[in-house]
Amino acid sequence: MKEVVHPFGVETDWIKEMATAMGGYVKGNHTIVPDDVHTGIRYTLSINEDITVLLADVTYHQDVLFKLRNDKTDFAGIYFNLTEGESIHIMDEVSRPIGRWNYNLAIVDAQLDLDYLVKAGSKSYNISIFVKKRMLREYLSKTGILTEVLDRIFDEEQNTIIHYDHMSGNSWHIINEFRKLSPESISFDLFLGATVYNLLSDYLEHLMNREIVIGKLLSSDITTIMASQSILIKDVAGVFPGIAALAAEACMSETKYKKLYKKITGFTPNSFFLNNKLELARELLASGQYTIGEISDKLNFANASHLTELFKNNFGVLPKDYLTLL
Amino acid sequence: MSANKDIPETFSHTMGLHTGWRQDFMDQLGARLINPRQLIFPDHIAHGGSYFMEIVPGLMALIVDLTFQVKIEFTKVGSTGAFCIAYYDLSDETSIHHVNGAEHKVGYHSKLGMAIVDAALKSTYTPPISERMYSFRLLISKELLKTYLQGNMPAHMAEKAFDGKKNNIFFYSHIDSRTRLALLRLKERSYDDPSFELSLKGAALQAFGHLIQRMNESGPAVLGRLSEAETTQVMRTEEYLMGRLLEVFPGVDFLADMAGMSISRYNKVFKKLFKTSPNSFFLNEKLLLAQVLLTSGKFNTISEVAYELGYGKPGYFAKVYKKAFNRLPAEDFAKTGPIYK
Repeated sequence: MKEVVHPFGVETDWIKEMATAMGGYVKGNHTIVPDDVHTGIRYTLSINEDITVLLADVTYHQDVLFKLRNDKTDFAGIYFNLTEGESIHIMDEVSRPIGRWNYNLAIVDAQLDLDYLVKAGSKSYNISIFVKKRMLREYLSKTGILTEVLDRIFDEEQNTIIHYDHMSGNSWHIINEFRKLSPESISFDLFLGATVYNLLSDYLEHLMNREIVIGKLLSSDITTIMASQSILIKDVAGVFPGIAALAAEACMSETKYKKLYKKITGFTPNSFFLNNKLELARELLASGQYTIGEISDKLNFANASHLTELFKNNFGVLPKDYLTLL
Repeated sequence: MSANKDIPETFSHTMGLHTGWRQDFMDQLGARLINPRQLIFPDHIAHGGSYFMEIVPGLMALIVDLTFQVKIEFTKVGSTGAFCIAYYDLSDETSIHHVNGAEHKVGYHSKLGMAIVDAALKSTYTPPISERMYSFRLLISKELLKTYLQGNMPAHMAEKAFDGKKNNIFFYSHIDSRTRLALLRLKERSYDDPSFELSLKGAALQAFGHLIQRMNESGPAVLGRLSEAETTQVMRTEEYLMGRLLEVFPGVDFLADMAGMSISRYNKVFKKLFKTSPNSFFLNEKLLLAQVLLTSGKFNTISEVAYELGYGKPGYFAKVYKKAFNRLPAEDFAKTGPIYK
């Protein structure tokens, strides 16, 4: 396993550090990495004084443990991740995997140290956008957020910017359009710039519709919440364990647990659990092997009509109508 | 607002890679800046205004969104700065409407939506009244353009192509579909939207990227210097052709006469501007229109479309259509919806 320790940033001095840590070197916009680590493209571009992007379209040939150790805190990273399969694992302080990566989009404060393991054989497609906090602040102020709230959001003592998410269909489309382009194309940098602006526009707009939970947290808090979420994912067929039990498991007070869970994932534990259950119900339904009654029993819903109602609320169609749509 | 009673009939302005050129609009037309980017026209002249912003050094984007109330002839005087202007016309599409009169006229006017023009050229236009005019423009410094085009060009040619004394850059075409899509999405957004700036930068870079790709494919627009009069006259014949796509080709002698040139000179200038002969330009546009008509769902049979376009034999129409698009008209044809008799 290769261990790669490096910072990120808007200023591009970290690129050389990353290249060296991976046993490679920088050539123009490309970072050339030895083939036994990964093959493919690792490309960085400074978009303007507030934004820098790292594009990685690579296949890993050995396990790589990335340890992100930033030396600047004036930016946040926005990570769009189209890695296939469950190949990225978030690690805790002693490098134990604590859960699979369930999200394809995250905004993470530079204050936080992140450790993650990418397995050999993974095909990874990542667009990481590093944005100065002052630009985010300027953007948020245009949405009408009060100055005093902004002061709290961007005060490192009071708040850590963190949010895991699923990318919108629009973002997905923007990235897929861009992927068709060869890096040899003369307009490559222009389209990469366009992609970054379009993704930021789409994401920030989406972020505005989410509640901003202000709070300071540590890297260990994220791993704890992720671990807790892994339990919920594993026990998806069971009954909801209850906040008290989950908080106890995470060694937090119930209030703190609920707040951090919402801040990081955007959901309450209960709604996350239910959504996950309904997704599974939909998959089972689509497989055509089960009746609604059987799925209801299998996934511990109160009864079939309760599942039918929740299904309708969530997906907008009745289960039987959903089947005819397939 | 009574101070501005006398509305000028003609108005000249400059344009540049800096924000100062809008001063002419403020001084002479009474337009005002509501923020550094947004210029608003006085209501008695036009509704709407413009939006101007730097995308990257050497590349500015300008959105012009205006509905004129009075007739004014605009003249953009030749600029001294070394830059080009790319125009994308996204005004609401003129719909295909049939006027079933005795002459069986069809009020269809086709247009090429995109042009890139050397800023050194003077241009004059009179916007339509009470019709929303929406255009997107990129002001591109020749320095920047050079860095993206030079790779495909021998150095001595590049030097010539970007030397304003020897060459005017000119490129005139349809808007490619991806650029159109990006710009139409932008058109739907409000300037007040907090992410408008990001969207504008995204769309502008996309448009510029596609432009670079196309200019590299079709070869650099090296034309030598064309006189303004010649350009204007030939453009007038192009407009004439685009307005009469349903008729037969009027003949080069007629067009040359219209432009006031000899046939050989006319052919030469036309070919420089449009990269094709007048006749094949006309036929190509006719077939593009055929595609629009076929998919419009307004016709009952393919033969109707063929006759509409002036083809006497539907079989011949199918043949040329197949040659142009590698598909038979039947494959693109959308029939009229249910007809109630």
